[in-house]
Amino acid sequence: MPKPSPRAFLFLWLPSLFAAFAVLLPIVYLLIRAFSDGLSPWAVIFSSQTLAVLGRTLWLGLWVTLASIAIALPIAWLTVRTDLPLRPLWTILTPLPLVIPSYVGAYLFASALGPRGLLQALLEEPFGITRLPDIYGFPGAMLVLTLLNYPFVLLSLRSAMHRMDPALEEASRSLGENQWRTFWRVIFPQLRPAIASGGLLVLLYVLRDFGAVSIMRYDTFTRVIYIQYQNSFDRISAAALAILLVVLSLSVLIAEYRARGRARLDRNPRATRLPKIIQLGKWRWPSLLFCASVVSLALLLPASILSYWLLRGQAVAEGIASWFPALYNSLFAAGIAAGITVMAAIPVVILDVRRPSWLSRLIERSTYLGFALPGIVIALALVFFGANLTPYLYQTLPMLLFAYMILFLPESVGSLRSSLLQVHPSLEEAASSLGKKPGEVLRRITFPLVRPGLAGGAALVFLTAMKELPATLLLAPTGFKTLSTSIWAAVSEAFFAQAAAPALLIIVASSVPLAILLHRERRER
Amino acid sequence: MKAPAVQLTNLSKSFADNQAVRSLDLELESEHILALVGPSGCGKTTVLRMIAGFERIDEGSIHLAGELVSSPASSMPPEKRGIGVVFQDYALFPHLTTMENVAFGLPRRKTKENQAQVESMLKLVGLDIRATRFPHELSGGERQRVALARALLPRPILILLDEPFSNLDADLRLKMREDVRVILKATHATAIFVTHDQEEALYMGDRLAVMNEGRIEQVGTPEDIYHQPATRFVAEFMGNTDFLPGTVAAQGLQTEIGVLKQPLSNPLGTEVEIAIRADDVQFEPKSGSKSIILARHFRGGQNLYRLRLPSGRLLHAYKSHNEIFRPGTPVKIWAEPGHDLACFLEGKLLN
Repeated sequence: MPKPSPRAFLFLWLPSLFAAFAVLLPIVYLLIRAFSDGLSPWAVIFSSQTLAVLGRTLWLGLWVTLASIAIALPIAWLTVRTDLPLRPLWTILTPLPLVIPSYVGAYLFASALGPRGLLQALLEEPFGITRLPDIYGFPGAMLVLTLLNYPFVLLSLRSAMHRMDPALEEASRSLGENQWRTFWRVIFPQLRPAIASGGLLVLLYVLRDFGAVSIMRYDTFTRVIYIQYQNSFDRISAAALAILLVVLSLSVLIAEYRARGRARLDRNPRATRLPKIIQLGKWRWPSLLFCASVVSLALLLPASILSYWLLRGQAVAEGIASWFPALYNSLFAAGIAAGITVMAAIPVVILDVRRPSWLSRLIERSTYLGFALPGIVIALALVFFGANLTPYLYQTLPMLLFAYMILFLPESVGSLRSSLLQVHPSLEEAASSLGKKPGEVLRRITFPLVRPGLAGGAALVFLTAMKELPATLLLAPTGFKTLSTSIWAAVSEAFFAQAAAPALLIIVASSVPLAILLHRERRER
Repeated sequence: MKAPAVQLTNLSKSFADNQAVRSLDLELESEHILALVGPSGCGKTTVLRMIAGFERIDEGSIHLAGELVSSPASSMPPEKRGIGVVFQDYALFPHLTTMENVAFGLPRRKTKENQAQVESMLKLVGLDIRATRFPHELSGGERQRVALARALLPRPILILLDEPFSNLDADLRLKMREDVRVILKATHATAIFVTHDQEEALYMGDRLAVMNEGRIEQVGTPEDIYHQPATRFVAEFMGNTDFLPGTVAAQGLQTEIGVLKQPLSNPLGTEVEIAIRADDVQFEPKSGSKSIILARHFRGGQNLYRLRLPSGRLLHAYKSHNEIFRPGTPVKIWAEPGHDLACFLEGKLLN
């Protein structure tokens, strides 16, 4: 490592080291707690109960991932490469389920398809059906998580299809292969890294998910950890399970990182010609039906259930108005979280991109750990940490914001980093050669050029912090109600109508930053 | 009589508001290499893509070895045409090795015969030692040869090369030109080769077709094209040509640098354009002349001088490397071609 100047040390290295330390702190503390008490955590980790949880979690992850790929692959192909009727509409609608938080989705499906839910009520009158197959457990969890998470695979596949070189297909055709065989011999092998990357991302989200599995009552790690924590305050078990979950998530994250690296290798920067649009012919209508079914199930159905509950509740306007304090709290916490997370990301990214060394690289990598740390784990670690070491911070807003920062640092680092990588260092060097001091170069050259990355990172953090449930649930100060905790509280008591208004608010509020993000992506293409 | 390998008849194609190819006719005999040359945007790549079957045609027809493959009403899919294509950026399949790329077009059964064919092809292009490498592990020239081998192996009736050398460094380009021509000749391939580089076209083609704005201006041997350009465009595009206005007079052609003793049957006073190359022009220093030397470019064995006539028009002339004059020197300029110069009236060649 080159010896940094005192200024660089103060403004770059110190804050970066602090950020990396902050990310590592909870997990290290969790390890210490788990291994320093008398009882060995190994007993918990290797118990049959834990193995059953592990099995259930992986089973759910596997099926959600496979189902997401099965839905996303045809949709990506149809919307990017064919003359599907209403193609622009499906292009916009199919990734939209991303704005629905998993606990909102689970609540809507459970309230509609549950044993005594809306569907059963509708069917009782004409058909005398009093019981429906149980949606709780695996089927419900899988249904909801698949419908909300397939867009990860979809978006990854779409961008891979957009940057694929059309000449490869033409080469295959000129060598005697027809359309169908060209797809399997040439196109599909090139999509594999994108499928792997998107699929692993889905798996990661299933591992992290707390809301949907809890509402659907399917015991994966996150739910078991929460129950252990809540009921018995069983420190060792909860910590041991949390560590196991982190190890699992970390392996998936590493696999995803590698898959993404390969996907990038295959890119052909010279491919600027647009790929040919394929005529669907007699497949037009089945394809249309498929897209329409997915959109109805993942978007239309939740939207109609939500409207039903909204209308059944009190007068809508009044109902929504009473949630304004929670909305304000959500916006406030998410807004500050976005601000501090981006501030923390700036020195980390500048060091990593402009002053590469083993240390700056290590710092940057360790901020990505947040991605492998499920909200419930961070929350648990900070609860222990706060209760034992910093009681004056326990259940205060700074503690919650700190958790948000750890959780969402990877998103802002990633967004800012790709932005800064596009700014050629010669621009900064030109400014220096014209006599500008480092601070001024940063202010007048670097920041204006990476502004889209800063804004994108902030929007992404804002969006995810708004939707965050488990850490908010455990760490929010007493009486600090947000939209997500309000929904959780209502749904836990089966007050479905009561949860409708905050659910609507959270979807609307998180759609705005998503719209900004998607708009940006389109402009960049 | 045997049908030509390729026959394009009255071919036209438009994209949106741009007419890329305008009623074009072209024939190519078996085992010949045709270089299709023209400036970028002249429609040459579109012609290639229509022959390959990647683009449909608006008017006319395409016959390959006597068989109708494209008409406005129907288009045989590319995989049924029996053509090979070498793409501009090679389009090697990134997930397959050299050997798998080359073998892609063969029937999928791994017979001994197939294996032997692949190996001998790899040997022919000099890549037998790179058989298990992936495309990103190969150099530019190696990728180029893989692309060629892949296109040649299924023994296509026609091989199409789309600016195949444009991604290579200048010195490698010269070597690959030779290699590719040798390989094409060794396999008795019929080939159409698209390029915007005149020199490359002159080297590679048994015949040249010069294209401009969707039309073919001239088809002929490299010598014909270079020495007897049919149009002003061809003369200009094939390079190193200046144009000098002249007027038909009784004793020959009256120009700014004197009278050219070259009879033309056109009426006296007809204004023509004369194509004149640097090796047709002579000069010597002469004080008081209104023509001057603008610049000298050292070209190894020769000096190329840029000269300015009193009218401001520029001409170029070669002198041997030891005849050095300073820019600014006034000179007397005359033409000494030793053959008739090509003259154009409204862009068309006059005889």
